[in-house]
Amino acid sequence: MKRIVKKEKVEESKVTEGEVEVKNETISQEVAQPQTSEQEDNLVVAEGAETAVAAKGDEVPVEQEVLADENNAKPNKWYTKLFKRANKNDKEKKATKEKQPQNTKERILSIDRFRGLCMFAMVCSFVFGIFSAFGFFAPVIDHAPDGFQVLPGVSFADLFAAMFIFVIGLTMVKSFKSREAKFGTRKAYFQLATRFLALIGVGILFNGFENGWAELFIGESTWADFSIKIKIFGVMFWIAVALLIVYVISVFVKNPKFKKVSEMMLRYFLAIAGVMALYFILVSTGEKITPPVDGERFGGWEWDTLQNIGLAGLLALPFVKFDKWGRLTMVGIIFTVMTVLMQNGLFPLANSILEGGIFGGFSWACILLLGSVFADLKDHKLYWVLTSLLLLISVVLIVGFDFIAAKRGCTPVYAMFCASVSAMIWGGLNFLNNWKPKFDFFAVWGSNAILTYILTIFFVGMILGGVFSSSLSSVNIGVAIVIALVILALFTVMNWLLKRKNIYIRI
Amino acid sequence: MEQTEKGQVININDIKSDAASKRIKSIDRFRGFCVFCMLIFQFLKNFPSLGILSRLADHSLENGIIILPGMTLADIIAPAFIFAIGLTFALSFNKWQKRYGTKHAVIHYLERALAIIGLGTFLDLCNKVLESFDGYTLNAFDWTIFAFSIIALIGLVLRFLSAIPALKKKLSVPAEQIFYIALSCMGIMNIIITTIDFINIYNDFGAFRYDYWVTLQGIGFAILVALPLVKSKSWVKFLTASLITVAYTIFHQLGNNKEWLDVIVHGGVVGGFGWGAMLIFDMFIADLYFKNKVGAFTSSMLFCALGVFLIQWLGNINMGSCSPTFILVGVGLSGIIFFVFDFFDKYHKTKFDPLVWWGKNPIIMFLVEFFVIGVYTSFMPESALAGASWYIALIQGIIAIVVLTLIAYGLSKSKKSLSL
Repeated sequence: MKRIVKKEKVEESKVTEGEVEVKNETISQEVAQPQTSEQEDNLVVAEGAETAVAAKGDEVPVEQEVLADENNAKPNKWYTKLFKRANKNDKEKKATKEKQPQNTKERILSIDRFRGLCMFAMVCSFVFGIFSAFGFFAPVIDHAPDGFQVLPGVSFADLFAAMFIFVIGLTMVKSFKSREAKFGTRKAYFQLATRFLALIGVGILFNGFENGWAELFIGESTWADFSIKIKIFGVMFWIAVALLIVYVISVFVKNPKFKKVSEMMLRYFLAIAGVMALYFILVSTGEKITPPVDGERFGGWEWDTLQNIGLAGLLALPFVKFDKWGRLTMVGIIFTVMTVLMQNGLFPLANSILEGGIFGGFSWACILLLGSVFADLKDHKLYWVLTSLLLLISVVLIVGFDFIAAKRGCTPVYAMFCASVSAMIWGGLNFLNNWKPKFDFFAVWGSNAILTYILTIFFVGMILGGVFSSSLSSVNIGVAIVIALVILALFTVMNWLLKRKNIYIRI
Repeated sequence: MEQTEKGQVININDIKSDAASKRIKSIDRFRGFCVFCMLIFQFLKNFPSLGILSRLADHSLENGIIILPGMTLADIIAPAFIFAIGLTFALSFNKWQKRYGTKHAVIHYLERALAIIGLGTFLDLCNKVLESFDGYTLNAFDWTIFAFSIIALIGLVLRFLSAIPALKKKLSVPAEQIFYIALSCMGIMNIIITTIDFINIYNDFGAFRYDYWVTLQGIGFAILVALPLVKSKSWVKFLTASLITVAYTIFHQLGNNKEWLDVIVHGGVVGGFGWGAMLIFDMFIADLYFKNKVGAFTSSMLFCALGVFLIQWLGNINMGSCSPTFILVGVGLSGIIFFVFDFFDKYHKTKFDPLVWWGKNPIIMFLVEFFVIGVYTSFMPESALAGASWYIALIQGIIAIVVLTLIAYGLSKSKKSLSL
């Protein structure tokens, strides 16, 4: 109780003195964040860019969205309870917007648009990949070595995952700072670490479903065929589903304690799953380096994009308090060390695990940190110098000196190249910040990225691409176009509706 | 024109040229660096015992120091020199235009470009005359060039004589005209016979070639290509250079053209369009430089990155055929080197500035190197050059550097310069 009172004091002081700080240091939309612990407790869900799990009293660093003051909220629909949403009336909203400096709005648009571009490309690659009629798209959507090679070892499709992580980096430091201002450094670290672990957890539980239950359902495997890891994560998947259901129920039961406990259980359960995933991949990596004498292995990995993002966040977290030059220096050191290692025998090991596993994680973390550096350099005259320099170094090393570039394994030169391309695209989008069409396609797509991504994995990847793959792959091109357009339209409408109602879902 | 608070009228162009003149030192230093590298590295090439130092000027992929696929360290010097020209081309043209009008400025630069080609022709002729002692038979064209060279030398002697106050009025103008016109005629003839050379190669007509094309001709021809754009806006320069590069790329990549272009040094007249595109790009970067240094530096890096990036599809960098990748990397890398000089400019506090001395008289230094060092290396015994031990070679190298630097210093101090 004591603690809550103390926190409220902190909150109040922030609001009164916070104008300047908010404008200078964090994005000013935070002014409109919910302030009471009850309101903060209301949510589970995530903002895509931040890939974060909201903790108790852990209201989200809302860099990207205008959130309404829930003190004035009159929740009259179910989703207002389930999700955090804006409840300000139009006048208040307008007034808030007027208070915000112009550059804040610009930043929001370019980040949202860039994230939307990445999401749209990712979803298209999933959708087009289902139909064999779209075979001519294969060079665009296939990863190296089958896809169109932008650089030796790097295909066009290889760019987008890195771009997405770069976008996360654009908001990471600001997110940390806003938490730090509210809850203190230690808690800010803890919250972000939990978020990233939970993200790994979500990924690994999806793998538990995809590589376990999905194969069981379609009859390709039996329970006995599964490794112990799949069995563990398969079981944990259903526990997570159960906890999610409990949490959803708790939203409708007017019992704050129950709600709090159920939310915490879900969050920490996901984080524990993340820790287990990290344990298994660490053991597996160790066993690859020093194979057990008796041949029996305990490690194993289930590794995919979400785990990759989570690991990148965890590895980048220790440097989040550094200033931009400090972060850049760390990136330089990590790139140098990893390049030496990759060029001298580490690459085959990193390449044996999707996205490089633990080793690749360092380079992914560098992309994320570079994103944060470029976010700080947005209006700095060195923005384009750094971008061009990274591009030049990476291209010269890859083309001129045959350095290994690969997404799988995530070599530093690949990471450097992708980060520079991302910075160029984002820099270009920043020029368009004053252009505000009524229907901003990519901004709409970027508003709920994680939800879109998870739904894509689940419905497009697992259901359409898995269960219905045989029937869908054989349809003619006309039908394929119609289905693809319908799927894309559904995602567009979903994102548009959520954005229109100021609903931003975060994990 | 703008009016200050105190009512003073300021011409914006003056501000621009003031800003430009402040930066001239770093440009001079950069040009001096290019000339120094061209001459000294060339001299050190005679001493294999110096190891890597003797390979600095080597263009061959077998012995040269490879910095990028198909490109040696020596390959960057000529583009860097062109970059130095590009940096001051527009400023220098504006100065002439202000003093004498547009028509005179255009004619002056036309003559200047042809004279640079003519000077290259003359140096080629000197080599052929030296070869004639080893059995080479001078042909009709060689003799024609020989005759024009005599006229140019007469013009040069008259120019020296015109330094005498009593003769200045009478001799100054005709001496200059004789010198210029003779060299320009040689330049025009050189362009014609090099075009014929290329047509012969293209049609596979026999093995005979006149072979009159080296770096100076490439530079002069590039100035000719770039001259029409010297007064145009930056974006026009960029667009034109891009169009020339694209057209040249298409030609370069078709059939066996790359091999044909490679036969004549730097691609001959056709390759000269590539060098011209390079100079126009350089002028574009120079325009940026005077407005926004950071932007110019960034553009240089992007040019270089694009050039290396395109190696995947257009093939290795090849100075011999002036490959498109060479054009882009040449522009970009030269820009990057220049900006390193420019960056350190603010740290240069002393008056001891040997690179500036070198950079003030590139043509004289070039001629000095050709005749003094050329004669020296021709008449010294083999044991003192290729057979010399490393320390004997090093001593000779140091002496060459000191002597040439003293000459450069003397010329700089006495404000003597040979302007073509």
